[in-house]
Amino acid sequence: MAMNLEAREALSTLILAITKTGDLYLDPGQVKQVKSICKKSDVNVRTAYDLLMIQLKRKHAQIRYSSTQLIAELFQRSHVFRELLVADYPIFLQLTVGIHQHPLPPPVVFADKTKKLAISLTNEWHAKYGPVYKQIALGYEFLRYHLKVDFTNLVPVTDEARSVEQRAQEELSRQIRQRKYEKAVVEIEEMSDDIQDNVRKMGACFDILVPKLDDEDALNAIFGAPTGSSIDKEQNTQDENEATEENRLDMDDNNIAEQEAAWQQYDPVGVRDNALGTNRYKLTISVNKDNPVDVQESEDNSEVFTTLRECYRLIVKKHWPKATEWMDVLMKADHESGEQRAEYDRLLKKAIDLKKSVTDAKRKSEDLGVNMDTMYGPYEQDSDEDDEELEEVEVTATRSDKNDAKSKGKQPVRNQKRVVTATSKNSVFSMHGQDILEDDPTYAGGTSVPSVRAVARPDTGKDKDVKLSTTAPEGEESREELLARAPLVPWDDDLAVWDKKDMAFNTSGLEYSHRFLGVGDGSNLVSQDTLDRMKMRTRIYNPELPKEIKACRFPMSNGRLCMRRDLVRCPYHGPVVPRDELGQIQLPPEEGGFVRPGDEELDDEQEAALIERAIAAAAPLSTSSSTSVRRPDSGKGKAKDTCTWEDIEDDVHLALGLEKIDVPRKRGQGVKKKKPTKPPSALVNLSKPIDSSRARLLRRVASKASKDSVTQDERIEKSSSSRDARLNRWQ
Amino acid sequence: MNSGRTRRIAHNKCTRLLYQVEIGLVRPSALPSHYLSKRLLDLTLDPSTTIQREHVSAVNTIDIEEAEGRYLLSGGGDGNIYIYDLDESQREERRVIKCMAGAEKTVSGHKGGISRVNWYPFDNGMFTSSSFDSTIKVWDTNAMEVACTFDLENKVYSHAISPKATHGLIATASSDPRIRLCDLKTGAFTHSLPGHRGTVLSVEWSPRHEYLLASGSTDTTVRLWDIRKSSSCLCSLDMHNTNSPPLSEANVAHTRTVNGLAFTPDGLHLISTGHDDKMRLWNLYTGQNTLTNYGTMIRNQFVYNLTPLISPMFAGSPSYVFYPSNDRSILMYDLVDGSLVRRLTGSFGRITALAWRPRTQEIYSAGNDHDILAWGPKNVDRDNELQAMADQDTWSDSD
Repeated sequence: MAMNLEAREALSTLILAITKTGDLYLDPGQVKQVKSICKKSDVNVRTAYDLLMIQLKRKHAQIRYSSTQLIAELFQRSHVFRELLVADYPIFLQLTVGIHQHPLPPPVVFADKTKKLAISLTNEWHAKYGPVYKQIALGYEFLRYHLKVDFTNLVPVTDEARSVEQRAQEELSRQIRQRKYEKAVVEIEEMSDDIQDNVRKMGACFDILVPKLDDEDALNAIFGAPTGSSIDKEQNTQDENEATEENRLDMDDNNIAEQEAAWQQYDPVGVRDNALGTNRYKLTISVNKDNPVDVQESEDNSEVFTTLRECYRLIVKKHWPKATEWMDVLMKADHESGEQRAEYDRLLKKAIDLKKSVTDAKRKSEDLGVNMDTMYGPYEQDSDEDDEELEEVEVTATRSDKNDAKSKGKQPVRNQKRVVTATSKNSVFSMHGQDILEDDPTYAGGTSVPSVRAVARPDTGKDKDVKLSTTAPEGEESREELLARAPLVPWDDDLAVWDKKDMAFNTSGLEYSHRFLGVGDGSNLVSQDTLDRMKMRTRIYNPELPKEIKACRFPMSNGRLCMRRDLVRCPYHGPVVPRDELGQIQLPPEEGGFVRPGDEELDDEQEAALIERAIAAAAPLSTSSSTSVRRPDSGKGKAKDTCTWEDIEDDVHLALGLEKIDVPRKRGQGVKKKKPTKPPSALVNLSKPIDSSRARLLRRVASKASKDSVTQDERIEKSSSSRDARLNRWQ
Repeated sequence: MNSGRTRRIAHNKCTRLLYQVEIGLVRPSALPSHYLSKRLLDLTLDPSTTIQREHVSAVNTIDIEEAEGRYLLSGGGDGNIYIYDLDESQREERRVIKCMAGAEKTVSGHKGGISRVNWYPFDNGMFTSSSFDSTIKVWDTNAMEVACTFDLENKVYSHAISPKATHGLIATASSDPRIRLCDLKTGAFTHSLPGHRGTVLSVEWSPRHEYLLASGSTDTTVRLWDIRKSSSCLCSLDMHNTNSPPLSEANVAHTRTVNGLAFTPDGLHLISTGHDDKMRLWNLYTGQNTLTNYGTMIRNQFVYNLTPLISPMFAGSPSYVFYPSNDRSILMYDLVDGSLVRRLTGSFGRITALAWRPRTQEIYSAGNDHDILAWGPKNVDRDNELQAMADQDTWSDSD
């Protein structure tokens, strides 16, 4: 009995835990524990059933859903459990489907889920146990006949039904695979000849265009002369090195000069510096990636290229996808051993070979510059004129576009560089014969005065790189560099102290403290914060106000455009974006359509980005605006905006360069600092009142403040009426 | 192993009983009585029998004829009457009993819902039906045609034909407080029994005395009548067993409407049920309440006639009373000591009527889910594959 009590205890905690999580899926570990306890004895199964029914009767759909899932698990396993549940089957359906006018409790989502689950379970149990358990058959009939439940197309929920479904699915896919395999077999047999023909044809083209490596003469024709000479040269150098080393022992003072001269020419390996020769050389061959084979299309081989293109097109369009598909099908196909296996292996080998040859041919032709982009060679243009012209125009257009983009993106940078290098070299006096002096170690170079433009430009990394790359001596250059970097500022007091780390004051020793500079801390130095303050500079900002503020021009419901003028955003229609006469948003930014202070400083790109962002922000509005153009009445109320007066104020402040006003939030309105602790279970709290409009109204109406105001109003009214009455009495 | 042993023991008991009967140690009725009570205790929904659904509304009443114990008569709220042959496809593993004849709404048929159908007790060539359209009709079974109609001008809730009497009188319970007696021989009303002050919901003939009639009404009284007397009401049953005069106004059988009456088969006792969720057993010899306590499980809010079913009685074995409760289950009580023996669950509708089939010891129930269900003793020897599969535990090893 004690044993039973223990099991009961464990079961009750487990079942409570499982059903109270409120999750969609049960924790498999806990379910397993329940099952292992129930497996031990039928008494435990009975206990579990009682506990589950108690949980199932709770007025919470999430608990019911979890309980139903667990019931499904146990029902499948235990005969005792089945007997028990079957005896109470009407009640089970009452609690899970809501028959007999027992509506399921909220939350609605889970109630629906529970209902669906129970219907599916009934369906599957009916299929399996219907003939044995009359109650299930009756329940099934009841649902079908009275509730008009459609039992077709139900998703299987129990493991068994699911596995049956899965098996059917697998069988289907296996059949499909088999069919595909058979089709592929036929296709391979049919098309392999075609492919091989095509590949052979392409191979012939390659043979014509590119010399073979094993062809000695052809190789020599291309590489022969230069390669041979370089090798010879290297040989020579090596020989010489050896010779010099031998000669070194009996070297005379006389021939040093000669030797020097000779070394000047012949010292690629630094024998002179290291007193060591080396016999290892690094040979780097760089291959031009764009055109590795370096075969140019000319009038002579244009015919070959044409053939090659045709073959290539065939390969890319037809053979390559086919070969890939075959490989796919063959790899996925299931193969039995025996004859079939041998056949399969043969086919697979064939497919692999075909794919390899196709891939090779494709790659080779791409190396030759034949690809889908260049389907027409330069010598093919005469072939068909009508198409050709169109093609030509398009090509040039794209090219010019590209050029434009390039000039936009890259060229300015390049120009800058050029300017900077030019100015950095530009000294005040260019000395006569400076290039000779450059070699002189005593010459420090001319003082260069950078042009104002160069100085005013803020320092960029690129500039620095450029400067570092110049060959002038180190110290001189750093000053020059600093000067080049230094900003040009008008004179002010701070310039007197801007580079001082500390400042002594009152060196007379008479007075310890200074009237204005404050009391020193004994070191006769100006204190650090005073110094910092001295380094500050007064700057008067005069904001440039926009000359013209554009109207919002949002299409309104009365057919007119919004005439409000705002800097950044309209309080009713959101960000101000350029719009056309109808009020439609114009995607490309119009000239001067978007006036904003400081626009002059902005680059084109920045501006474009800004406008884009504004358009993106207004995008949801634009859809409604377009509908409202067509049907003015329906657009009403759709253009809802969230921007408030504060936002507009912020915009204005931003434009004037003022600080943003941060209004300290009230305690009630602010974001709650303390996040409410998350409940451990996902159960929806049903005791919490639903936030309906009625509840909100009630809350507002029944709040103390509103009641107080009402009573106050009443009091005022009463007093005023009594006053009036008194007045009347006095009259 | 286990089941085999129990079967052997049962077998031994059976042979011993047979032997005892043979040598006269026990009464001959001991054997059937023993088996009857055993089978009654095994009663459950019969999984192999399905009665095809014909009614399109609640089935209000069913009756099985006593002559052959073969034909089931059902009347529904849709006004239709159907007859089923319960022996149909008897030998099949899974039998589906189809309707063999029906009286659907015809010109002569009932215009309203059927409240009660009764076979003529001595012959299955005739049956009677009462309806809420205020008529009682007598039907010829073979032609499925109405032979005679009694118009009571009031909603008829029930009617009864005496199972043993030769007088051929139909007692009617209608919203008229008087009980009117219809004579099958003349096709006319013979007389009325005044006494009730409310709608009479149930009326039953005694199986022991052919002139004794019991009736229950919404005025909370149960009255016994001798139809031969001019002042026919014998007494009004008193639940408190006070010494008041038998026809005292203070005598009440229930605290609320009485809607069910049933004589025990021996006619010595009467069962009455009412909306006060009570069932009372009356001793008809003394007319007193036996004060048998049937517990608190009964829920009875059925607005029409709801007759309990009493199993056949054998001396020395307990008799049972079946009562369909509001919670869609059938409560099975020991008639004498009032203990709840079993709760038969599984019906998806509220059970409105019960019928006993003596030959196979089966119960048939009609429900307001348009279905008629068969409840039979669990077949112990049923050894088919499906049952074996269902009886199996399938715990996986990993559990």
